[in-house]
Order: sequence, then C-alpha cells, then structure tokens
Amino acid sequence: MNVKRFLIFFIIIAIASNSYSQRDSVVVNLDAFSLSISKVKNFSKGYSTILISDNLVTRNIRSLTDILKFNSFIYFKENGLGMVSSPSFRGTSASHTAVVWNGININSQLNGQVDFNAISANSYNNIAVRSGGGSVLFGSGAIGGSIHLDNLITFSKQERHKVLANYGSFNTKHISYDYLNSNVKSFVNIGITTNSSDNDFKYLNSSLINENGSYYNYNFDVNYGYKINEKHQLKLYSSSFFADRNLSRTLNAPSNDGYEDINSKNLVEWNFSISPKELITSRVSYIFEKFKFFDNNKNKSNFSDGMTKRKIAQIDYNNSISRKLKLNSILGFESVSASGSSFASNTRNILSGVLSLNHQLTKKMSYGIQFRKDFQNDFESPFLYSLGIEQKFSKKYTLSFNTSKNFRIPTFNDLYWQPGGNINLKPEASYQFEIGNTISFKNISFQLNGFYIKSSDLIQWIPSQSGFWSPTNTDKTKNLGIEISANYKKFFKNHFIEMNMNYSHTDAKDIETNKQLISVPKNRFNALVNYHYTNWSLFYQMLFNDDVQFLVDTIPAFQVSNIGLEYQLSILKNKPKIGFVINNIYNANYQNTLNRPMPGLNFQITTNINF
Amino acid sequence: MNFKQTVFLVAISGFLVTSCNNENEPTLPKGEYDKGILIANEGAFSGGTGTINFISNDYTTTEEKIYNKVNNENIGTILQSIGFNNDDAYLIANIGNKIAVANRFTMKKITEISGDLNNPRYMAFANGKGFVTNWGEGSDTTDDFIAVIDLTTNTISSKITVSEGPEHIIASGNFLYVSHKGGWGSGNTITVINASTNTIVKTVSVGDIPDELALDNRGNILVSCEGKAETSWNPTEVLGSLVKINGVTNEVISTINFASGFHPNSMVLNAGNIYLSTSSSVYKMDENATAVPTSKIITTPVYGISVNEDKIYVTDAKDYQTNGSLKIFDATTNLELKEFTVGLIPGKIYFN
Repeated sequence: MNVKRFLIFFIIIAIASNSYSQRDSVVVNLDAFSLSISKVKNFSKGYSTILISDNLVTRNIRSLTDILKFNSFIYFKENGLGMVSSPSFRGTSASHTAVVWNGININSQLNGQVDFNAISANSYNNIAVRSGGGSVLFGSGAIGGSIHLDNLITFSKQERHKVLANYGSFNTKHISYDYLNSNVKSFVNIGITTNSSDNDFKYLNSSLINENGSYYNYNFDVNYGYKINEKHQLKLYSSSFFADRNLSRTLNAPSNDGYEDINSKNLVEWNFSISPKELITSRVSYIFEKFKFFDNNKNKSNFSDGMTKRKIAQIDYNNSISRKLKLNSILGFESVSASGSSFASNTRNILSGVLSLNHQLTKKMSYGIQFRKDFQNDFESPFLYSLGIEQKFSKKYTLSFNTSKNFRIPTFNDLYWQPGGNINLKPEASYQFEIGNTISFKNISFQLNGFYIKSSDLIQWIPSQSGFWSPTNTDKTKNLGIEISANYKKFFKNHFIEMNMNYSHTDAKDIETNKQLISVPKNRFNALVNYHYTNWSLFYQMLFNDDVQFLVDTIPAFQVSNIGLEYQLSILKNKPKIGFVINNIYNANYQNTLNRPMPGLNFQITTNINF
Repeated sequence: MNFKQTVFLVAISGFLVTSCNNENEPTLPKGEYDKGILIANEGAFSGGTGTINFISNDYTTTEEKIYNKVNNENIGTILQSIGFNNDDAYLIANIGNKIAVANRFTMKKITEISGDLNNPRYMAFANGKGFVTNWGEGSDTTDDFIAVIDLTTNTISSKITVSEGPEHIIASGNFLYVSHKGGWGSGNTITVINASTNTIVKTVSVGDIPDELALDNRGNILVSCEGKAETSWNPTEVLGSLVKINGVTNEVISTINFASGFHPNSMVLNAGNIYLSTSSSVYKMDENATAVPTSKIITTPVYGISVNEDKIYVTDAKDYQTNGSLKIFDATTNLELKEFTVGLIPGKIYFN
C-alpha cells in the first residue's frame, strides 16, 4: 500500500466530515462510552456476535474455557481440565483466534495463542464472541474470530460489593471479591480472584487418576476512571494474573512437569471530546507476559522460560459525521521485545494505520468498510481490508454479507527459536467470505451464517534437512461451514424461560492433500435452558462434540451435560444466592485432546452475595 | 487409541516376491510373531503411544499395533527402542517412563519396570544384568544415570550416575560402552562401565554428539559422531566423525572426519560393512576402511536404518503426522524390493 495514497484518503474523509457535521445532532455520549465495545458493535457490519451474559460467566467461572465451550462455537483443545487450552474457531488453528482486552490484542507474542485457562474469567463487564476475520480492527490472528473482554467505566452514582465463593469436587475452590464505587466524577473498581484445585479425579474405565494436575491462580484487577470535565476523561485499566499449574499425566505417560504464568495488562486511556461528534482517544499500554516451564516440578531451580514486554501507543479518532455516517481511524505504534531460554533477545516495532467507515445508506441498508496497513522491521505486512453490508428486508429479517483479508504475523518463536527459527517467514494470509441471516420474532431469534475461509502461507513446523524442526510458509487450507444459533425468551406470570443453542458444521481441509485438518470437530452443538420461578432458578447445559482427528488417532465424539439449581434467600438482608451444580450428570467418559480424560460426574456448591 | 479396531492386514502382493529363505528351516514358530520383522513406531509425543508393526519374512503377513492388541494395553508414549535378551523384549517408553517386558515372539506381556526410570532411552545386557540409559530431566545436567536391571526379577537393583545425556549403550564382554549425546546440550564422551562392579572405569573423549555404537570384527568399538551442522543459530560447522576405540585398552585408535555437510544420524555394522545414513541417503563403507564414503548407495528419506541377511531396511517418518513406511532394499544391488506402510514415526527395525 502506498502510504501517500493512504494519507490522502484519510484527509479527504476528514474534510468531508467537517462539512457534514454542522447539521446533525448526534452526540457521542461519553459517560457510557466504551470505544472497544463500540468497535464490535458499530464497526462490525455483517459480522455476528454472541454476547456472554453475566450469569453464564458466574456459572462456569472456573475458566474462560468453561464459559466459552458451553456458550459459543469455539472448540477448545484443553490438555486436561485446567491445563493449557487453545481454541479452534471455524476449524482454524490455535493462533487464529484473537483475544482483545479493552481494545488491545493480547495474544501471546511467543506462540500467537491465548491459553484460555491462564486468563481471568470474571474480570469483565462484557464478553463478546465475534465470528469471522477481524484483523483490520483487531490485529494479527483474528482469522477464525475474536473474543472481546471489556471493562466498562461509567460515571454514575453507585456502590456495591460482590462476593462469590464456590467449592466443589477435587477440592476445587473459587473465591472472588469485587468492589465498585462510582459517582459523577470518578469510578473505582477493584477485583480479586483466586482459583485452586487438587484436580485429582479418577479416569473413568481406568485404574489411573489425574496425577500431577493440581493448579492455583490469582487475579487482581483495578479499573479507575476520572472525569476531568465534560470534554476530558481519564481511564486506567489494569489486570494481573498469576498461575501455577502442574501439567497432568495422560493415559500413556506420567508427568512431573510444572508451568507458571504471569501476565500483566495495563492501559491508560484519555478520551477527549473535541466536539459533540468528534472523539479522540489516546491510549498507552504496557503488557507483560512471562512463563516458566519445569520438567520436574520438585526441582524448581531448573526451568526454561520466556518473556515478552509490549509497549503500545495509539491515537484513535472517531467522528460521528452524521447519524448515518461514522468514521474511525487509528494510528498505532507498538514495540515488542522478547527474551527466553530458547532464543536471544529480540525486538520488533510495528506501525499501523486503520481506517473504518460505517454508513447507513438507506433506512434499510448499511455498510462498513475498513482498511489496515502495518509497517514493521522484520517483514512486509499485507494490506488488509474488510467490507460488510447489511440489508434489512423487514423488521424480522436481515441479510448480511462480509468479506475480508486477514493475517497472522510470525511469532517470536517462529522467527527466533533455537534451533529451528526461520527469520525468512512471511505473514500468513487469509481471505474470508461470509453470509449471515438474522431472523427475529417476538420471543425467538435465529442467526444463520455460512462462511468460507481460504488461508495460505500457513506457518507449519516441519522437520528440516538438518534434523531440527523448523517453520515454513507451506500449508494452504480451506474451511467451509455453517453456524446456526437460536435464542428463545419468554415471560409468563412469575416464570421466565430462556433457551440458547449453537450448532456448527465445519469442513476444514488441506488444499494440497485434500485431507481433513487435525483437531477440528465436524459437528458441534451446545444448548442451554434457563428457568426462573420466584426465587428459584434452574439451568441445564449440554455440549456435543464430534469425532476429532489427531494425527493417526481419532478422539471419539462425546456429549456432556451439566445441571444446576439456584435459590435466592430473599428473607436475608443482602439476598444471597446459593446454588448446587452437577457437572457431567451422565458420567460421560470423554476427552478434549488425545488420551487426556476429563472428569466424570462431579459437584459444585456456589454462593453469591451482593451488598 | 482404539486398538480393538485394529485389523489383520494381509499383504495381497506378497506372492510376487519369490523368497529363497522360504523353506529354510522346518522348526516350529515360537509364536505368532516369529520369523519376521518388528518395526518400533515412536507414536505421538503428546498423549500418544508407541506401537509395533510385524511383517513376516515372506511378506505375506503384516499386522499393526501387535503389543497393544495382544495385551489390550498401550506401550506408553514414545517407544524409543527395544532391548532383546533371549526371548524377552524390553519395550522402552521414553516419555511413558516405563519398560514393558514381553515375549518377543508372542508379544505377551510378562511384567513392567517403572518407578525409578527417568527418560529411559536404550538398553544393553551384560553379566546377567540389564543396563538402561536414562537422560533424567532434559534441563538437569546432573541427574543422568544408568539403571541396572536384575533380569531374574525385572526390577531396578541400582543406579550408576553418569554425565549428561547417555544415549546408546552396547556390551562388549564384561564392559559397557555408553555414548553421551548430551541431552538438550551436546556431549563428546564415551563412558566405559564394568558390568560386574557397576562402576565407571574410563571416560573416553570422542567427536561432538556421539550417537550410535557398534562392535567390529576385531573387538573395537565404533562410534558415529554427528558433529554440528551449520545453521543460522550455529554459524560454525563441527564435522561429523567416525571414531574407533580399542576394546582392550579403551584408547581411541582412529578418528575419521566426514566431509563438510555430512552429519550421520544412524550407523549399522553388518557383515563387515558400515552403513551410515543422513536424513536423505544411505552410505556404505568397509569396516576397516580408512577413508569415508563419498557416494551414496541409496537415496531415500531416512528416519532409521537396519541391515539383516543381505537386505537394507529403511524407515521414513514422512511428515511425522501420518503413518510412516518401511522400505526394503537388496544390499547387493541397492534396489528397492518392497515398501510397507507402518505406524507413526517408525524409528527402529528389529528381526525375529
């Protein structure tokens, strides 16, 4: 992409915006404004999003893996309960799902992935799962989809304490405390969480137990906001996580490995409302991740480790030119340095420019268009684009279409790992087409998406001539699939019933060999039923996961269901809730990854107090 | 791993090969897997299990996962190698940290050795005992040892502490020779152990990354040293070498350096010839030759090689994600005779 042309385009749009801005009365309401949420909502025309509600989070609070595997389309390759867990979204690989925390892509700079068991599950006000490519807005790795974890800072008078305490089988504990105090001028939110488990469940149909599977983790969050005046707001987000896990055995081998993670995410955001329509947000972020791997957790003086430090600065300009036309441009700079036992210290700098436009063309038709170009010292980054169109045919039916080009840049491991790292890699490229249908009636709504993803230059580690494994840009894949979700809600008298279901069919193949990709379930289905009556609530959730190929083996299909009952003690002052959950009620013997059995029937007691 | 689904495969093309070994001995077979080739497949590193393929000498019978099928259990993760002592096969599961002891002809499990092993690699037998090299933890350079196995009880009777990365082990009379490949680091020594006293009698310096060991016709110990290839993270090449150690004095007799770019990954000694392989070819030299071979005899992807009764056996691990293959070549003409699909990452070839 020609930089000059890019800038000219930007300027023209900016000029156009000024001439429009006078006769419109749309106002950015800064008080309840979250830029990162608005990106998923406003600049994602044609993309489907699943919002994970608070009570779903509370229910599966042990990990983000548990929350998402029962409530989204994503398949998790969880190496045993609580162990390293990587996603497969739309049949793409583990580094093709981006996790975006308050607008910042937090995928590991070392392996490109997020371990969904090494990230806090209950630190956010808003969790959204967005299907489809989003590299333009959310950066490297947003190919299968993206998961958005957001904190809301609002300036209204409120104060609350929230305590959650769960205890369950295998000595599994969750305790968290969340405090919020805000007024028209300032906002403070502090959260502390701890999870732990002996995780020593028995393997069904075997004499073995899940040895060496214990874990604990802590999370500490601070979110702070200060409203300087009507035009300026300062926000600070900070989240730190520490986990210590033993890595559990498999059916075929014992283990005495251990793993420690520390990650710290920090963001300062300054919102400046230039005019009622224009908002400039400047952000500075510092993200730190570090891991230590112990091949004998009894002797922690021997380990291998890796660490990255990222510094990010962004200027994000939003212009609601009119009620119909919204513009967003981002100029970002990022500097990442990494070091570790398996590679020398290295740094990379990335400069990126993003331009997004959303236009309500007619009452019924709208579209969004976005461009991105990165410049970096290691390799040439492709010019990325995304186009989405929505057409409302009636109140009940909306048809949407989107196409995008997405990418994933080589990670530090890919480039510098010793031995094997390949500094001549180029970014992976992925093209995507998607058609979406939304059908809504009074109590029930459906979403039906069909997608096609074609990826090339996929980075794969293969054995080289010199006997080492080394990454190359070899693989080409195509993923074809459909996703159907349905949601039903109904109130009658004191009763409330809600049902959600998600089904996906994915056909993911290597283009050259025409073979199915490993670790992709063809069919996947999950469903949830919630029922409330006065102080009682009952839920039932189930997951069906099809056969999964792993190398020369097949992980058999499975079905697992959980049931829970909750009662609110209205007679007590703070109306605490107590609940009882039975996980895997049919005692299914199942595995997410090869020869790593998951627990059979197990229990959990939950308590939840707000005051 | 569903070994119940394993099927008996009969090679339909077997009759095409007119073998001259067919009507050799009228002796009864000692088991279902007598008179054939055993291929040890490492299997998947993450959660997988090693497996063994059987191919009868006349190529008419082929069967996969034979141990898993006979015993209805898995060997364990990464079948590194098999040690043989009379009728007993010692199946060494490297990540599985155990050794399954089975009858080599029936594959029926006798017992299991586990507990005190730590990353076991290879096994040799001397003085009525078994000796197993153990890497210990990859990142720990001081926990490497040789496990001494009491062969009557099949239990670990003692441990001999050795330096980092003990790999191959062979017996010569009452002495054991251990190559120190060096774990994740890189070694350059051979340890000599007295099999009666279980003590180290000598440490011999050889080339970088000594790997395979063999005994020649004069009782000398041959050591193939990989050296280090030139790569972006290792800018200075270290040549591979073939080192000969006198089996009586334990002194190095000779060191022959290989040509630049030649880094052998396996070595086999058979009928007076040394066979060496790289990842793409097989070379041959006389065991008493003083110069290294310059031309290859076979060009094919190589993961492991073995030579037996005038045939060269070569495994190909393919992409390490799908089943590999075994190719059989005539050792006189070097022509390919036959190819069989075997298991995931076929590493070693043995003969029953």
